Amino acid sequence: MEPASDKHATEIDFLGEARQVEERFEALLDASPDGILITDARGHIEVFNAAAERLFGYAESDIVGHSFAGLIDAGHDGGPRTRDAQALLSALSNESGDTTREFTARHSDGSSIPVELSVGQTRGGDKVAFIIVVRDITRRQQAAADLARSEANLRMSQELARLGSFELTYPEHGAPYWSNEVFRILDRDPAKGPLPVQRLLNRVHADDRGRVHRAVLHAARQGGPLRIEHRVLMADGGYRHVETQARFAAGDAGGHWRISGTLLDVSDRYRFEQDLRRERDRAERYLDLVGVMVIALDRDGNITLINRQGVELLGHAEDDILGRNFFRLFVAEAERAQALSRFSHALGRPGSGDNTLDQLWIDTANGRRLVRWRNQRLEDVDGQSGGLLCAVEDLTEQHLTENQLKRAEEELRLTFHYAPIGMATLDIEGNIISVNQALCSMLGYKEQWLLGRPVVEIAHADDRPTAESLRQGLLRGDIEYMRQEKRYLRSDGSTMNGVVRYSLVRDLRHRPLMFVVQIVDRTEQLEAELEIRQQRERLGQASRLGTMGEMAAAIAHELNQPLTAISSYVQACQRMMDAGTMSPGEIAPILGKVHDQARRAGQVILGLRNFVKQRSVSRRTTDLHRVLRDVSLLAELDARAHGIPLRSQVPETLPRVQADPVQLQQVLLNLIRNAIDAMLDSEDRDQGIDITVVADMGDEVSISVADAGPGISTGDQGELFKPFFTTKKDGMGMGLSLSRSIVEAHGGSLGFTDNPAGGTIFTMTLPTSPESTP
Amino acid sequence: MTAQPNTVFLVDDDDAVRDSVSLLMRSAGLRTREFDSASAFLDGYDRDQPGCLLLDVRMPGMSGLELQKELNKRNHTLPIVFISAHGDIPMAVEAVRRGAVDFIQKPFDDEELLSTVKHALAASEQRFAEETERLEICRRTASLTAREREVMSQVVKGKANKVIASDLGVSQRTVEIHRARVMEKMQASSLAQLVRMVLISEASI
Repeated sequence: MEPASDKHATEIDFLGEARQVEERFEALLDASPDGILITDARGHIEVFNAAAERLFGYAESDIVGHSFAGLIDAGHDGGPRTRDAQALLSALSNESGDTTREFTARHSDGSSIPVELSVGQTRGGDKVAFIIVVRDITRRQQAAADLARSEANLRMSQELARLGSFELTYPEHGAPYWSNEVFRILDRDPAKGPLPVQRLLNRVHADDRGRVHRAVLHAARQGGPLRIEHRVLMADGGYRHVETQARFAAGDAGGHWRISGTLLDVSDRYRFEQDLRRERDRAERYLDLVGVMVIALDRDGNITLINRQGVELLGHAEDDILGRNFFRLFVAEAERAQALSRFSHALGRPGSGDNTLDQLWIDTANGRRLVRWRNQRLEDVDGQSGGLLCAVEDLTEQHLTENQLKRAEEELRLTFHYAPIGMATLDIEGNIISVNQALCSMLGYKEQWLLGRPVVEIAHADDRPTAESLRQGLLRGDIEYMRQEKRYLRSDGSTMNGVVRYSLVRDLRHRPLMFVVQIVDRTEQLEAELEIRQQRERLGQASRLGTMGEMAAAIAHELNQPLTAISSYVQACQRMMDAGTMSPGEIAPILGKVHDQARRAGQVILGLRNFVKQRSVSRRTTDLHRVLRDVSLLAELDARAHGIPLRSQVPETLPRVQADPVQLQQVLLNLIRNAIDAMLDSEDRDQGIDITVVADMGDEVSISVADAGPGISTGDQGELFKPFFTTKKDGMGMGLSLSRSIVEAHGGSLGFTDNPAGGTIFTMTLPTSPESTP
Repeated sequence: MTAQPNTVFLVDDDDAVRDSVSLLMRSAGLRTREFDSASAFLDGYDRDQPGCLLLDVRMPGMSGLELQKELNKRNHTLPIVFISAHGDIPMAVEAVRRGAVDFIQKPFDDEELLSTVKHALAASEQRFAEETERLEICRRTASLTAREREVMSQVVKGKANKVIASDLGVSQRTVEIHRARVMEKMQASSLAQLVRMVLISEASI
């Protein structure tokens, strides 16, 4: 025995230890995941741990003293509820071996809980207590149910999968077995019975046969399972994909194999996989081929797919951007919120139609780009939005081009609007589409008043039919362009003489689109013409001086001839008189000759004076005889100087004309001068030049100059009257141009025809004066 | 040789000019023949006739310059004096370049014209005489035999008879006989005269 103090101490220690054990026990109870209850012998609850509180929904303090039987709903066999907890617990605790039973417990809220109970009995002296461990098996039961369901599904799917099974022996030992599915898969009439192994192997596709054979041998040697996919030949020459699984076992008598296995027709799966792969390849190729960026974004805007164009547009490697947030990467912060709101709007929109985030500026590695965005809402199986599939078009270039186009259009519009001549466009019915400022101010209408109005309304009534028929001609394509002098009505009722030019604009398919109309105020044009005429007169003056320069040489020649003769006669006389060899009778005829030559010189000077006498350009009643006489005098000098005869045929009576005689002389001299030039190199110079005047044509008189030159080449004929066109080595190309202007200014015409005798005939026709006296 | 020296051929289409100039020439004692066109001259002119051509530049048909060209083509040596009522410098230069003696503007000073014409006539006369002599020498040369011509060419080179004999492989005596025959046929009185004749005949070749 130990000393009392020790005893006491031991007692104290014992109590402390007991307390400690009790605390540990309670902590253990509360930590246990299973519900733990302790009842007395009658089944009245004494201890109810935390897990039990959670399981049954009662607090320990509420349940202590109640019968355990109240917590049990029904027996595991579904029998009636027992009220006798003591009997139940005794029975459970006395069961040998497996002390775990399943019951349905009742929760405080009335619901049922599948539970598993383990009951143990303890005895302390005469006091009996039960310890009950309760476990919630809801989850386990669910798993079991799931398992059962999936097993059923498996069975069903095996049926659906048309899995066939077989039993074979090799070498052949007893009849082989094929299930119906095997007959079907191998397309063999069941009435014919199964094929032996060797013939079965022959049904394997030739390309797969070696592989199958090796696998079979390998499985047979190792005794392991065989699992191989291969093709089997069909009677129709086609083949089917199958999966064969088999186990090899040694036969009863040894020396042969028992092979049992399944044959699965995987043709559909195979085809499906093939299709799927092809479909996926095609989709990927398509995505790469489409000219636009294709990108898929999940609900958060993360990139889940991107095609080649997208990679190129964004300028980042695919791996660098997949899974990252598109908006954070490529949309500027300032614009991100708006872009995201449009994105979520598109995401949330029900239905699967095309939506558009319209246009968006994105910042790529290649700079800022403007893109147009089309998207398709991706939906997962339950109809929830799974993100967006987007086609993104780069509009940057187009945007720039559009800007340029816009500018060009603006320039064109301004040009049209502010053009100094009146302009309008008409639709093909002749209604005004647009007008410019000049036209409005020319006619005094407001633009708004003119728009949409038929253009004929502003034309003078007398001109309308002609204008209309010309417009129709344009539309039919008979004419390409028209010019018409016509009168327009101003807003104040007055008439404006205008020249209008119409052209028809056609579209690419050559259909009439609209008319473009230009209207010029004739009064302005008349002023311009006056200006031109004055200029022409100044030029004419210059030309006459030029002609004079040319004439000077001829005149000098012609004056020198009589002067030479005079001086030679006189000098000869002097010599003879000095020598005394001259008789007075000889001198008289010589003096007569000197006198003749002096007169000849005087005539040359008279003709010259008449020609150069400056006269202002003025029209008056003019005697053509006089004009012709003056011209002939000068022209003859010139012609003679070149050894070309000049003849004229002039009627005795000529009508008078209203003309400027100097100008007419100029024209005639010019024509004669040209005729001389044309004949300088001619063989037929002796044929000479013929001037013919015809005056019996009523109110016209014509003067023609015919030469025997080489004529005018076809190519030059159209150019002849154009200014600065010349065939002469030293010509200015102004003569004929001015001549025609002069003749036309006189209301006449100047033209030419081929000379039947060779060469050319130029003919000037002038209107005769009304007061002319025949 | 029926040539009449001192003949002025006057070609001008202007009757008054032709008549008055002809009178002027005659007053100075010159003979004239008148033609009213270039073609009339070409038809009527005898190339063996020496003289001077007084030619108007501008004429109907063939002009004066064209006539000059034609005469040059025909190898005529007639001196030409152009008279022009309307001459210009390029035309005058062209005419003189083609061998014209002078280019005189109408109306002209009688002294100037006459002295020019007289110079031309003198030159023509001399040229005609030279030509006549040359033709005579050519005629005489043509009468020589081949051997005589050979000997003559050696003689005029100043070779001695002995040297010529050895060169030709004949006797000295034979050379002497040939030489005497050459002098006779060529009507040469001295060696110097013979040398001159040979030079004239060669110059014409």
